[in-house]
Amino acid sequence: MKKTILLILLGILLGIGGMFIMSRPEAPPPASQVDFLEFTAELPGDALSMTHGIEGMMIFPEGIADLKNTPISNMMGISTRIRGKDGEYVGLASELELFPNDKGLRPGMKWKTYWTFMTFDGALFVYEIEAPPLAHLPMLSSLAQGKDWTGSIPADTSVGPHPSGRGIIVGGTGAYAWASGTFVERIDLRGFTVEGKITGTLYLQLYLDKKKSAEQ
Amino acid sequence: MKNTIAFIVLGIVLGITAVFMVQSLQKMEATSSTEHVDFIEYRVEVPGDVLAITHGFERGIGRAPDTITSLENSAISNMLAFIARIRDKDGNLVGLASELEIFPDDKGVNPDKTWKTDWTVTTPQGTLLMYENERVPAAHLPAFTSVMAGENWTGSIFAQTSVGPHPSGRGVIIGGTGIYAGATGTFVEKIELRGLTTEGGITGTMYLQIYLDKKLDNQ
Repeated sequence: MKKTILLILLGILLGIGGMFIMSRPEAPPPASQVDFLEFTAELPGDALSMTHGIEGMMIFPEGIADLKNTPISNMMGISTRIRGKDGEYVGLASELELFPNDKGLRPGMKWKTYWTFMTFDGALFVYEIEAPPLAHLPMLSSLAQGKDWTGSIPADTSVGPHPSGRGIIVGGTGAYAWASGTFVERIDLRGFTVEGKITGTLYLQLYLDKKKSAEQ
Repeated sequence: MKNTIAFIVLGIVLGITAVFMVQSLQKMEATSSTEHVDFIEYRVEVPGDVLAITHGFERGIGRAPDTITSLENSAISNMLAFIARIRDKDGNLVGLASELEIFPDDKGVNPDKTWKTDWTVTTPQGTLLMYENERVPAAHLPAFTSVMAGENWTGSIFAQTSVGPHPSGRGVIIGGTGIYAGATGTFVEKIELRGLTTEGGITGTMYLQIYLDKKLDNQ
Protein backbone atom coordinates (compact mmCIF):
# COMPACT_ATOMS: atom_id res chain seq x y z
CA MET A 1 0.00 0.00 0.00
CA LYS A 2 2.83 2.37 0.99
CA LYS A 3 4.70 1.48 -2.20
CA THR A 4 1.62 2.28 -4.28
CA ILE A 5 1.28 5.70 -2.64
CA LEU A 6 4.98 6.42 -3.16
CA LEU A 7 4.73 5.48 -6.84
CA ILE A 8 1.69 7.73 -7.30
CA LEU A 9 3.55 10.60 -5.59
CA LEU A 10 6.58 9.98 -7.82
CA GLY A 11 4.31 10.08 -10.87
CA ILE A 12 2.75 13.36 -9.74
CA LEU A 13 6.21 14.89 -9.24
CA LEU A 14 7.39 13.69 -12.65
CA GLY A 15 4.21 15.02 -14.27
CA ILE A 16 4.59 18.45 -12.66
CA GLY A 17 8.30 18.54 -13.51
CA GLY A 18 7.62 17.56 -17.13
CA MET A 19 4.94 20.21 -17.52
CA PHE A 20 7.24 22.81 -16.02
CA ILE A 21 10.08 21.97 -18.43
CA MET A 22 7.78 21.86 -21.47
CA SER A 23 6.06 25.13 -20.60
CA ARG A 24 9.22 27.19 -20.17
CA PRO A 25 9.20 29.97 -22.73
CA GLU A 26 11.61 29.44 -25.59
CA ALA A 27 14.78 31.51 -25.40
CA PRO A 28 14.18 34.88 -27.07
CA PRO A 29 16.43 35.83 -29.97
CA PRO A 30 19.29 37.77 -28.35
CA ALA A 31 20.28 39.43 -31.64
CA SER A 32 17.55 42.09 -31.28
CA GLN A 33 18.86 43.26 -27.92
CA VAL A 34 21.07 46.34 -28.02
CA ASP A 35 20.70 47.63 -24.49
CA PHE A 36 19.54 46.10 -21.23
CA LEU A 37 17.97 47.75 -18.23
CA GLU A 38 16.88 46.16 -14.98
CA PHE A 39 14.84 47.61 -12.16
CA THR A 40 14.13 45.75 -8.94
CA ALA A 41 11.57 46.14 -6.18
CA GLU A 42 11.80 44.48 -2.78
CA LEU A 43 8.44 43.19 -1.56
CA PRO A 44 6.78 44.20 0.58
CA GLY A 45 9.20 47.01 1.58
CA ASP A 46 9.33 49.04 -1.65
CA ALA A 47 5.65 48.72 -2.52
CA LEU A 48 3.63 51.86 -1.73
CA SER A 49 0.05 50.81 -2.44
CA MET A 50 -1.96 47.94 -3.84
CA THR A 51 -5.70 47.62 -4.29
CA HIS A 52 -8.16 45.53 -6.30
CA GLY A 53 -11.47 43.69 -5.97
CA ILE A 54 -9.98 40.20 -6.13
CA GLU A 55 -10.50 37.45 -3.57
CA GLY A 56 -7.54 36.07 -1.62
CA MET A 57 -5.05 38.89 -2.10
CA MET A 58 -4.30 41.63 0.39
CA ILE A 59 -4.63 45.36 -0.13
CA PHE A 60 -2.46 48.03 1.50
CA PRO A 61 -1.75 50.43 3.11
CA GLU A 62 -4.39 50.28 5.82
CA GLY A 63 -7.35 52.43 4.90
CA ILE A 64 -7.02 52.13 1.11
CA ALA A 65 -10.36 51.62 -0.70
CA ASP A 66 -10.86 48.26 -2.37
CA LEU A 67 -12.57 47.72 -5.72
CA LYS A 68 -14.98 44.96 -4.61
CA ASN A 69 -18.56 45.15 -5.89
CA THR A 70 -17.67 47.75 -8.53
CA PRO A 71 -17.63 47.47 -12.34
CA ILE A 72 -13.79 47.34 -12.10
CA SER A 73 -13.52 44.62 -9.41
CA ASN A 74 -11.28 42.56 -11.75
CA MET A 75 -8.66 45.32 -11.92
CA MET A 76 -5.62 45.93 -9.74
CA GLY A 77 -3.58 49.10 -9.15
CA ILE A 78 -0.10 49.01 -7.62
CA SER A 79 2.46 51.77 -6.99
CA THR A 80 6.02 51.04 -5.95
CA ARG A 81 9.49 52.47 -5.65
CA ILE A 82 12.02 50.95 -8.05
CA ARG A 83 15.76 50.41 -7.61
CA GLY A 84 18.70 50.50 -10.02
CA LYS A 85 21.37 47.83 -10.38
CA ASP A 86 23.20 49.06 -7.30
CA GLY A 87 20.07 48.85 -5.17
CA GLU A 88 19.51 52.61 -4.95
CA TYR A 89 16.10 54.16 -5.53
CA VAL A 90 15.89 55.48 -9.09
CA GLY A 91 12.19 56.11 -9.59
CA LEU A 92 8.58 55.07 -9.24
CA ALA A 93 6.46 52.54 -11.10
CA SER A 94 2.80 51.76 -11.47
CA GLU A 95 1.42 48.34 -12.37
CA LEU A 96 -2.18 48.32 -13.60
CA GLU A 97 -3.67 44.88 -14.18
CA LEU A 98 -6.79 43.47 -15.76
CA PHE A 99 -7.83 39.96 -14.66
CA PRO A 100 -10.40 37.70 -16.38
CA ASN A 101 -12.59 37.95 -13.26
CA ASP A 102 -12.38 38.79 -9.52
CA LYS A 103 -12.15 35.21 -8.25
CA GLY A 104 -8.42 35.20 -7.51
CA LEU A 105 -5.26 33.55 -8.82
CA ARG A 106 -5.41 29.99 -10.10
CA PRO A 107 -3.10 27.82 -12.24
CA GLY A 108 -3.64 28.28 -15.97
CA MET A 109 -5.15 31.75 -15.80
CA LYS A 110 -3.67 34.71 -17.72
CA TRP A 111 -4.08 38.41 -17.21
CA LYS A 112 -2.99 41.71 -18.79
CA THR A 113 -0.46 43.97 -17.10
CA TYR A 114 0.63 47.53 -17.88
CA TRP A 115 3.82 48.80 -16.26
CA THR A 116 4.93 52.43 -16.27
CA PHE A 117 8.46 53.12 -15.03
CA MET A 118 9.35 56.74 -14.28
CA THR A 119 13.00 57.64 -13.67
CA PHE A 120 15.00 60.87 -13.81
CA ASP A 121 16.10 59.88 -17.35
CA GLY A 122 12.58 59.33 -18.70
CA ALA A 123 9.62 56.99 -18.59
CA LEU A 124 8.97 53.58 -20.16
CA PHE A 125 5.59 51.97 -20.81
CA VAL A 126 5.38 48.18 -21.02
CA TYR A 127 2.57 45.72 -21.77
CA GLU A 128 2.71 42.05 -20.87
CA ILE A 129 0.49 39.03 -20.44
CA GLU A 130 1.16 37.22 -17.16
CA ALA A 131 0.42 33.75 -15.81
CA PRO A 132 1.31 31.99 -12.55
CA PRO A 133 4.55 30.10 -13.31
CA LEU A 134 4.38 26.33 -12.86
CA ALA A 135 7.40 26.64 -10.58
CA HIS A 136 5.12 28.48 -8.15
CA LEU A 137 2.67 25.53 -7.93
CA PRO A 138 4.03 24.38 -4.54
CA MET A 139 3.17 27.82 -3.18
CA LEU A 140 -0.38 27.72 -4.63
CA SER A 141 -0.79 24.18 -3.31
CA SER A 142 0.28 25.26 0.18
CA LEU A 143 -2.15 28.17 0.17
CA ALA A 144 -4.95 25.89 -1.04
CA GLN A 145 -4.35 23.83 2.11
CA GLY A 146 -4.61 26.96 4.24
CA LYS A 147 -0.89 27.13 5.04
CA ASP A 148 1.53 30.04 4.65
CA TRP A 149 4.37 29.25 2.26
CA THR A 150 8.06 30.14 2.56
CA GLY A 151 10.97 29.13 0.32
CA SER A 152 12.76 30.61 -2.68
CA ILE A 153 11.46 30.14 -6.21
CA PRO A 154 12.68 32.52 -8.94
CA ALA A 155 10.41 32.34 -11.98
CA ASP A 156 9.15 34.46 -14.88
CA THR A 157 5.52 35.53 -14.81
CA SER A 158 5.61 37.03 -18.35
CA VAL A 159 4.12 34.79 -21.06
CA GLY A 160 3.52 37.28 -23.89
CA PRO A 161 2.32 38.93 -26.04
CA HIS A 162 5.72 38.73 -27.82
CA PRO A 163 6.21 35.31 -29.51
CA SER A 164 9.26 34.78 -27.27
CA GLY A 165 7.00 34.80 -24.22
CA ARG A 166 8.13 38.26 -23.19
CA GLY A 167 6.14 41.45 -22.77
CA ILE A 168 6.65 44.39 -25.14
CA ILE A 169 7.83 47.98 -24.72
CA VAL A 170 5.05 50.22 -26.07
CA GLY A 171 6.79 53.59 -25.76
CA GLY A 172 8.81 55.97 -23.71
CA THR A 173 9.78 59.57 -22.97
CA GLY A 174 13.01 61.47 -22.35
CA ALA A 175 16.05 59.26 -22.90
CA TYR A 176 13.63 56.43 -23.73
CA ALA A 177 11.61 58.29 -26.37
CA TRP A 178 10.80 55.94 -29.28
CA ALA A 179 11.99 52.96 -27.21
CA SER A 180 11.02 49.51 -28.43
CA GLY A 181 11.93 46.02 -27.37
CA THR A 182 10.79 43.32 -24.99
CA PHE A 183 10.32 42.86 -21.27
CA VAL A 184 10.43 40.14 -18.64
CA GLU A 185 8.92 40.24 -15.16
CA ARG A 186 10.63 37.80 -12.84
CA ILE A 187 9.94 37.25 -9.17
CA ASP A 188 12.08 35.50 -6.60
CA LEU A 189 9.20 34.45 -4.40
CA ARG A 190 10.24 33.84 -0.82
CA GLY A 191 6.94 33.93 1.02
CA PHE A 192 3.18 34.00 0.48
CA THR A 193 0.71 34.02 3.35
CA VAL A 194 -2.91 32.88 3.32
CA GLU A 195 -3.80 36.56 3.84
CA GLY A 196 -2.09 37.30 0.52
CA LYS A 197 1.08 38.98 1.81
CA ILE A 198 3.97 38.48 -0.63
CA THR A 199 7.68 38.49 0.24
CA GLY A 200 10.27 38.47 -2.53
CA THR A 201 12.20 40.47 -5.11
CA LEU A 202 10.71 41.66 -8.38
CA TYR A 203 13.08 41.87 -11.37
CA LEU A 204 11.81 44.06 -14.20
CA GLN A 205 14.08 43.40 -17.17
CA LEU A 206 13.92 45.58 -20.27
CA TYR A 207 15.61 44.47 -23.51
CA LEU A 208 15.88 47.58 -25.66
CA ASP A 209 16.22 47.42 -29.46
CA LYS A 210 18.39 50.53 -29.52
CA LYS A 211 20.76 52.38 -27.25
CA LYS A 212 19.36 54.82 -24.70
CA SER A 213 19.38 58.39 -26.06
CA ALA A 214 21.45 61.10 -24.40
CA GLU A 215 18.53 63.51 -24.84
CA GLN A 216 16.19 64.01 -21.92
CA MET B 1 1.17 107.32 2.03
CA LYS B 2 -1.93 105.14 2.22
CA ASN B 3 -2.92 106.22 -1.30
CA THR B 4 0.53 105.35 -2.63
CA ILE B 5 0.32 101.81 -1.23
CA ALA B 6 -3.24 101.40 -2.50
CA PHE B 7 -2.20 102.45 -6.03
CA ILE B 8 0.77 100.08 -5.97
CA VAL B 9 -1.49 97.18 -4.86
CA LEU B 10 -4.02 98.11 -7.54
CA GLY B 11 -1.23 98.17 -10.13
CA ILE B 12 -0.02 94.73 -9.07
CA VAL B 13 -3.54 93.29 -9.28
CA LEU B 14 -4.08 94.83 -12.73
CA GLY B 15 -0.70 93.56 -13.91
CA ILE B 16 -1.39 90.00 -12.76
CA THR B 17 -4.86 90.08 -14.32
CA ALA B 18 -3.45 91.33 -17.64
CA VAL B 19 -0.79 88.60 -17.72
CA PHE B 20 -3.40 85.98 -16.86
CA MET B 21 -5.73 87.19 -19.63
CA VAL B 22 -2.96 87.24 -22.24
CA GLN B 23 -1.82 83.75 -21.24
CA SER B 24 -5.39 82.44 -21.38
CA LEU B 25 -5.98 83.96 -24.81
CA GLN B 26 -2.69 82.55 -26.13
CA LYS B 27 -3.58 79.11 -24.77
CA MET B 28 -7.09 79.21 -26.24
CA GLU B 29 -5.70 80.22 -29.62
CA ALA B 30 -3.04 77.51 -29.61
CA THR B 31 -5.44 74.83 -28.42
CA SER B 32 -8.10 75.61 -30.96
CA SER B 33 -5.57 75.25 -33.78
CA THR B 34 -4.95 71.58 -32.95
CA GLU B 35 -6.96 69.29 -35.21
CA HIS B 36 -8.21 65.93 -34.05
CA VAL B 37 -10.32 63.07 -35.42
CA ASP B 38 -11.62 61.44 -32.25
CA PHE B 39 -12.10 62.62 -28.68
CA ILE B 40 -12.41 60.81 -25.38
CA GLU B 41 -12.71 62.15 -21.85
CA TYR B 42 -12.06 60.53 -18.50
CA ARG B 43 -12.80 62.05 -15.11
CA VAL B 44 -11.58 61.58 -11.55
CA GLU B 45 -13.61 62.85 -8.61
CA VAL B 46 -11.23 64.08 -5.91
CA PRO B 47 -10.93 62.88 -3.22
CA GLY B 48 -13.54 60.09 -3.70
CA ASP B 49 -11.91 58.30 -6.65
CA VAL B 50 -8.34 58.66 -5.41
CA LEU B 51 -6.97 55.33 -4.17
CA ALA B 52 -3.41 56.29 -3.19
CA ILE B 53 -1.12 59.29 -3.34
CA THR B 54 2.34 59.77 -1.89
CA HIS B 55 5.40 61.97 -2.40
CA GLY B 56 8.31 63.49 -0.49
CA PHE B 57 7.10 67.09 -0.36
CA GLU B 58 7.33 69.19 2.77
CA ARG B 59 3.90 70.73 2.25
CA GLY B 60 1.09 71.51 -0.18
CA ILE B 61 -0.42 68.14 -1.13
CA GLY B 62 -1.86 65.62 1.30
CA ARG B 63 -1.05 61.90 1.18
CA ALA B 64 -3.75 59.22 1.09
CA PRO B 65 -4.47 57.03 2.82
CA ASP B 66 -2.64 58.69 5.70
CA THR B 67 -0.87 55.40 6.49
CA ILE B 68 0.96 55.38 3.14
CA THR B 69 4.77 55.51 3.13
CA SER B 70 6.21 58.98 2.46
CA LEU B 71 9.09 59.54 0.03
CA GLU B 72 10.63 62.21 2.26
CA ASN B 73 14.41 62.02 2.81
CA SER B 74 14.93 59.58 -0.04
CA ALA B 75 16.66 59.87 -3.42
CA ILE B 76 13.22 60.23 -5.03
CA SER B 77 11.73 62.81 -2.63
CA ASN B 78 10.76 65.07 -5.56
CA MET B 79 8.56 62.39 -7.12
CA LEU B 80 4.83 61.74 -6.70
CA ALA B 81 2.74 58.60 -7.29
CA PHE B 82 -1.03 58.79 -7.68
CA ILE B 83 -3.46 55.91 -8.35
CA ALA B 84 -7.14 56.54 -9.03
CA ARG B 85 -10.33 55.09 -10.40
CA ILE B 86 -11.46 56.77 -13.62
CA ARG B 87 -14.94 57.54 -14.92
CA ASP B 88 -16.34 58.07 -18.39
CA LYS B 89 -18.23 61.24 -19.35
CA ASP B 90 -21.42 59.80 -17.85
CA GLY B 91 -19.78 59.19 -14.47
CA ASN B 92 -19.46 55.38 -14.75
CA LEU B 93 -16.33 53.73 -13.30
CA VAL B 94 -14.47 52.39 -16.35
CA GLY B 95 -10.88 51.76 -15.27
CA LEU B 96 -7.79 52.75 -13.34
CA ALA B 97 -5.16 55.40 -13.89
CA SER B 98 -1.74 56.19 -12.52
CA GLU B 99 -0.11 59.61 -12.51
CA LEU B 100 3.65 59.60 -11.88
CA GLU B 101 5.29 63.01 -11.51
CA ILE B 102 8.75 64.56 -11.15
CA PHE B 103 9.01 68.01 -9.57
CA PRO B 104 12.01 70.35 -9.68
CA ASP B 105 12.54 69.83 -5.95
CA ASP B 106 10.79 68.47 -2.85
CA LYS B 107 9.56 71.82 -1.56
CA GLY B 108 6.05 71.21 -2.87
CA VAL B 109 4.04 72.75 -5.68
CA ASN B 110 5.53 76.11 -6.71
CA PRO B 111 3.34 78.34 -8.95
CA ASP B 112 6.50 79.53 -10.75
CA LYS B 113 7.75 76.09 -11.79
CA THR B 114 6.62 73.37 -14.19
CA TRP B 115 6.82 69.65 -13.53
CA LYS B 116 6.73 66.45 -15.64
CA THR B 117 3.80 64.04 -15.54
CA ASP B 118 3.27 60.55 -16.97
CA TRP B 119 -0.37 59.37 -17.09
CA THR B 120 -1.30 55.73 -17.68
CA VAL B 121 -5.01 55.11 -18.26
CA THR B 122 -6.21 51.50 -18.29
CA THR B 123 -9.67 50.31 -19.32
CA PRO B 124 -10.82 46.84 -20.42
CA GLN B 125 -10.66 48.12 -24.02
CA GLY B 126 -7.03 49.26 -23.89
CA THR B 127 -4.42 51.45 -22.26
CA LEU B 128 -2.88 54.84 -23.03
CA LEU B 129 0.41 56.36 -21.87
CA MET B 130 0.51 60.15 -22.00
CA TYR B 131 3.16 62.70 -21.08
CA GLU B 132 2.72 66.37 -20.18
CA ASN B 133 4.38 69.33 -18.53
CA GLU B 134 2.20 70.88 -15.85
CA ARG B 135 2.01 74.18 -14.02
CA VAL B 136 -0.33 75.73 -11.47
CA PRO B 137 -2.83 77.72 -13.58
CA ALA B 138 -2.92 81.44 -12.86
CA ALA B 139 -6.67 81.06 -12.26
CA HIS B 140 -5.93 78.79 -9.29
CA LEU B 141 -3.61 81.30 -7.59
CA PRO B 142 -6.31 82.74 -5.28
CA ALA B 143 -6.79 79.27 -3.79
CA PHE B 144 -3.04 78.84 -3.20
CA THR B 145 -2.73 82.38 -1.80
CA SER B 146 -5.53 81.66 0.66
CA VAL B 147 -3.93 78.42 1.86
CA MET B 148 -0.51 80.08 2.18
CA ALA B 149 -2.17 82.69 4.38
CA GLY B 150 -3.40 79.85 6.61
CA GLU B 151 -7.02 79.73 5.48
CA ASN B 152 -8.89 76.90 3.79
CA TRP B 153 -10.31 77.84 0.40
CA THR B 154 -13.62 76.91 -1.21
CA GLY B 155 -15.04 78.06 -4.54
CA SER B 156 -15.11 76.79 -8.10
CA ILE B 157 -12.30 77.48 -10.56
CA PHE B 158 -12.03 75.47 -13.76
CA ALA B 159 -8.57 75.64 -15.35
CA GLN B 160 -6.02 73.72 -17.41
CA THR B 161 -2.81 72.49 -15.78
CA SER B 162 -1.18 71.21 -19.01
CA VAL B 163 1.40 73.56 -20.56
CA GLY B 164 3.22 71.23 -22.96
CA PRO B 165 5.35 69.71 -24.36
CA HIS B 166 3.18 70.06 -27.51
CA PRO B 167 3.47 73.57 -29.01
CA SER B 168 -0.27 74.00 -28.44
CA GLY B 169 0.28 73.75 -24.70
CA ARG B 170 -1.16 70.25 -24.53
CA GLY B 171 0.42 66.99 -23.41
CA VAL B 172 1.20 64.22 -25.92
CA ILE B 173 0.11 60.60 -26.36
CA ILE B 174 3.15 58.30 -26.15
CA GLY B 175 1.55 54.97 -27.00
CA GLY B 176 -1.30 52.60 -26.42
CA THR B 177 -2.61 49.05 -26.49
CA GLY B 178 -5.93 47.43 -27.45
CA ILE B 179 -8.20 49.96 -29.15
CA TYR B 180 -5.48 52.55 -28.50
CA ALA B 181 -2.69 50.59 -30.25
CA GLY B 182 -0.77 53.00 -32.47
CA ALA B 183 -2.61 55.99 -31.01
CA THR B 184 -1.14 59.45 -31.49
CA GLY B 185 -2.44 62.85 -30.55
CA THR B 186 -2.59 65.28 -27.68
CA PHE B 187 -4.35 65.63 -24.35
CA VAL B 188 -5.27 68.20 -21.77
CA GLU B 189 -5.54 67.87 -17.99
CA LYS B 190 -8.07 70.23 -16.45
CA ILE B 191 -9.26 70.54 -12.91
CA GLU B 192 -12.33 72.13 -11.48
CA LEU B 193 -10.95 73.09 -8.07
CA ARG B 194 -13.67 73.39 -5.45
CA GLY B 195 -11.67 73.20 -2.24
CA LEU B 196 -8.12 73.38 -0.90
CA THR B 197 -7.21 72.99 2.76
CA THR B 198 -4.11 74.03 4.67
CA GLU B 199 -3.39 70.30 5.20
CA GLY B 200 -3.23 69.76 1.43
CA GLY B 201 -6.71 68.29 1.00
CA ILE B 202 -8.08 68.85 -2.51
CA THR B 203 -11.72 68.73 -3.59
CA GLY B 204 -12.61 68.89 -7.26
CA THR B 205 -12.97 67.06 -10.55
CA MET B 206 -10.03 66.19 -12.79
CA TYR B 207 -10.65 65.91 -16.53
CA LEU B 208 -8.38 64.08 -18.98
CA GLN B 209 -9.43 65.22 -22.45
CA ILE B 210 -7.77 63.12 -25.14
CA TYR B 211 -7.60 64.28 -28.76
CA LEU B 212 -6.78 61.37 -31.07
CA ASP B 213 -5.33 61.78 -34.56
CA LYS B 214 -7.33 58.81 -35.88
CA LYS B 215 -10.67 57.17 -35.21
CA LEU B 216 -10.91 54.42 -32.60
CA ASP B 217 -12.11 51.12 -34.06
CA ASN B 218 -14.10 49.57 -31.22
CA GLN B 219 -15.39 52.24 -28.90
